[in-house]
Amino acid sequence: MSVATTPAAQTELVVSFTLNGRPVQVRTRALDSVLAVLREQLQIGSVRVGCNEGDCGVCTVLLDGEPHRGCLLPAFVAEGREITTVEGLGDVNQLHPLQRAFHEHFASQCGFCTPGMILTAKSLLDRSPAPSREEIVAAISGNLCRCTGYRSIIRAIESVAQQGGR
Amino acid sequence: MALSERTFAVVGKSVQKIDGLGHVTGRTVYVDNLTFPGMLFTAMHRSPLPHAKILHLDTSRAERLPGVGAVVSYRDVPNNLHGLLTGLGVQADEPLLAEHEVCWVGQPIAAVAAADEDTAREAASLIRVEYEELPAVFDPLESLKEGAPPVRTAYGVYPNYYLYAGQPCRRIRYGDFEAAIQKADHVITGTYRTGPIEHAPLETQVSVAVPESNGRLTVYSTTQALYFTMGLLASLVGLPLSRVRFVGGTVGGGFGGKVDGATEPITGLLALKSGRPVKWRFTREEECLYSSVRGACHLEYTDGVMNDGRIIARKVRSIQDSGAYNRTSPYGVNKNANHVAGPYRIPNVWVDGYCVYTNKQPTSAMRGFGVFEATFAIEVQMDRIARQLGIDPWEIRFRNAYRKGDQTPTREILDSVALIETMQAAAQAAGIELTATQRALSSKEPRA
Amino acid sequence: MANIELLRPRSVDEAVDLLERSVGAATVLAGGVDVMAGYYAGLLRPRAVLYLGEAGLSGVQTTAQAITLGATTPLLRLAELGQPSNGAGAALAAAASRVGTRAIQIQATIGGHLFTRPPYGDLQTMLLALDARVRLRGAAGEREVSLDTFLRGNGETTLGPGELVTAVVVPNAPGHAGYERIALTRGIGPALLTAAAWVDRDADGRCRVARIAVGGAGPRPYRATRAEQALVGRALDDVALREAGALAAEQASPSDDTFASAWYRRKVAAVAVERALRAAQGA
Repeated sequence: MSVATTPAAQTELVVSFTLNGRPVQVRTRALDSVLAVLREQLQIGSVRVGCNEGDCGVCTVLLDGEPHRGCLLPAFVAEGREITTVEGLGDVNQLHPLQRAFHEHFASQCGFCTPGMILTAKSLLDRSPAPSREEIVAAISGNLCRCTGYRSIIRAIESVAQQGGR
Repeated sequence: MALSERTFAVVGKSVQKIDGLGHVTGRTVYVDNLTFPGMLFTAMHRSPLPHAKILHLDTSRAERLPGVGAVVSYRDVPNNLHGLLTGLGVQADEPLLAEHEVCWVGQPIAAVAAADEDTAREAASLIRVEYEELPAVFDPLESLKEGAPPVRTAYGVYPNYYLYAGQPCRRIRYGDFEAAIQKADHVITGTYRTGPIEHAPLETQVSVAVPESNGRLTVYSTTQALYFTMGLLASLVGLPLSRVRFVGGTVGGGFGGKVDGATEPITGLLALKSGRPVKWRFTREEECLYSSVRGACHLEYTDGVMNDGRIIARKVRSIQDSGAYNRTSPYGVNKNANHVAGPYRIPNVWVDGYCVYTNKQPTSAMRGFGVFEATFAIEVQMDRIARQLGIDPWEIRFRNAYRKGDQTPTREILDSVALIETMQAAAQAAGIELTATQRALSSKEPRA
Repeated sequence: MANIELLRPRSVDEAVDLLERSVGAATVLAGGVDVMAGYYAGLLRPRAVLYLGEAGLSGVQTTAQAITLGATTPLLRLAELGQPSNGAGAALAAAASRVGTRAIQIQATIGGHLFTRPPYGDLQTMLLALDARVRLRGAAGEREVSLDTFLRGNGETTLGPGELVTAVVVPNAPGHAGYERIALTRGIGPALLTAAAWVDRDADGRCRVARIAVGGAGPRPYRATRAEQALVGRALDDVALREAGALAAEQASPSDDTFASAWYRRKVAAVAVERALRAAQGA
């Protein structure tokens, strides 16, 4: 018998959530990832494809303020929740302190890891406003950077923590 | 006005990156952000075997799959046999799409452009190839041996190594190594091996080829070398340069791995055949298994050293694994040979640098191409010499360091060298106490 | 990819019922870390997915006897179990907090973790040392089985057709835990070797009970029973610990893989067990 005849079964879903403060609605299939939906339907270019298996962190999004792998998160799980990407933190004319600090500390070279790194840093500072260097290192250990060697990234985050900004 | 009196706007100043704001706001556009109406997606059918003759290629089932815009094979490539260094006189040796033979697991055979990635992959899996397996060799040392199976058999008889002016290796003969080694107080040998390394940029290879209504082909690419890749595509696809437009931009990490035209000629061909924009983004798996890597290197050092630490003779046998095709390895071996004796004044140097083929993923450029491997070997060998002679490792290097006016094994007279000063600065930064004599040394003064 | 049916049961009973009626065609989805990676790699092609995230299976209950972890409890919740500092809770926290990074811990579940394949599955090692049990429910009812029995290696389990894992039960026995994780990188990538030890000593400091588990040196984590037996009644001095490490390594059946050789894993197993035992000696 087909499982589809049960009332609980669906093949296409409508998912409503908040994206950077705006309500949005998308049509997805069961296992479409948040990464795919953000890129293909919502024109979010900052959440990227690096490995598509949860290892590199360039797909990082904040779900209710907590870092998640966008490539591993089924979009339907976002129903009723809040997704934040760097587009929601600030823009060129009004930078978030973390964006400013990353820019000023040269914490970015090719830029590919930067949005994911910034989101992870934001969730850390929201959770722990005065983290030790060790805590910062542990928090960003899930975001790969192939260019900077991480020092400038750590310094950027430390500088924001020191200023009490988040 | 003297240089020291001028004020500069950029030199000596900390200047913000022009793309920094784009990076931190997520606005920076990478090739995978680009999308065009009617755009197709690419999948490649690749060889599952390390070495085999292609007896028959059938793409008909792939072509018939609904959603497929175009399928290309060797039949669609005007100038299939190519080489990245033909401009430097290195003979073309690699087919863009395999015709007679496959020489490595993953070698591209036929590509599909379809409405979505799943359809493209399904179509690629419907391509049928009949093979006759051939013997394969994977170890460059084995490949060099007399009687080793040939790595490539199509397009003529090739030895398993690149020929440098008719010789099996790049050779440097400076002074008289064989006479000098007899006079040495010590003969110190060492064998060093570096493994293949994948560049692992966070952004994989991506290109989008768009056939324009004015007959031009526009290609958006992650290439590190726009003109180089543009020329490659134009020559493979048979288009004049005036009809090809390349658009680069921010590359999400290259490190030498985005130079070989991994995707552009294919997306270009598929775009021309289908009449639609075509994108190809390598998966991480493709990036690791099928894009170029830094080749493994095997280095054997034989040094003649005097009691006072002077190296009077050095012989290096350097074997670089090129994988199945040349790509840029013959050039890499040149660089390796040129640097492999080190920044040290050695009056008798013998280098044999081999560019060897194996039935593996073709290797190519990566940061410090050919020199990184050499540096590792040179410096470990210097430490070995220091240990064996009971001389301080800093001292052994000061004693042998180049001075202004020294001649290199390739007969260059050096004018501006600074190993001594670099070591002095490094020692200071590391809190290492050098002797007064070492502190007083200068590259500008001839050695005592 | 063909359209996949998404089943969203609102209770365990409904989940069991749907699973039964799907006749083995539904892939169970908890956190999704493994299912999504497999799906996007083209390795998993489910026709239907049974999502457990809305079936009330998440939560931690602590009694004097045991800590019961609902199957869909995220690893992050375990990482945040703190006190008391010498109990099973702290042991779970020590191991869970070192699985991947926060973004993985917040999504991966304890239930899903039981099915993950080597080289992943760090937490299985600690659960084994804690003598954890797996609670299962199917159409025929509920049963409990030791984790040691449940794990068959390489991601295979003794889960019966139509059965779901509903909880992992960790006994709250007297004693202290120690954990050692050997890895090439932190935050990303699997461990090369994990060792977990649970030790209970008598008033003289002699070992009364020892449980030692080693992961990464075989198709599944194993209990180093020879090493455990050798410690009973002994003072846990350096000699005893080194012997235990050596015995534990002897029982390993490691393989070569991309990350490390079998030789290396066996060597390191001895060291990791020694360190875990040392850490299990308490404050």
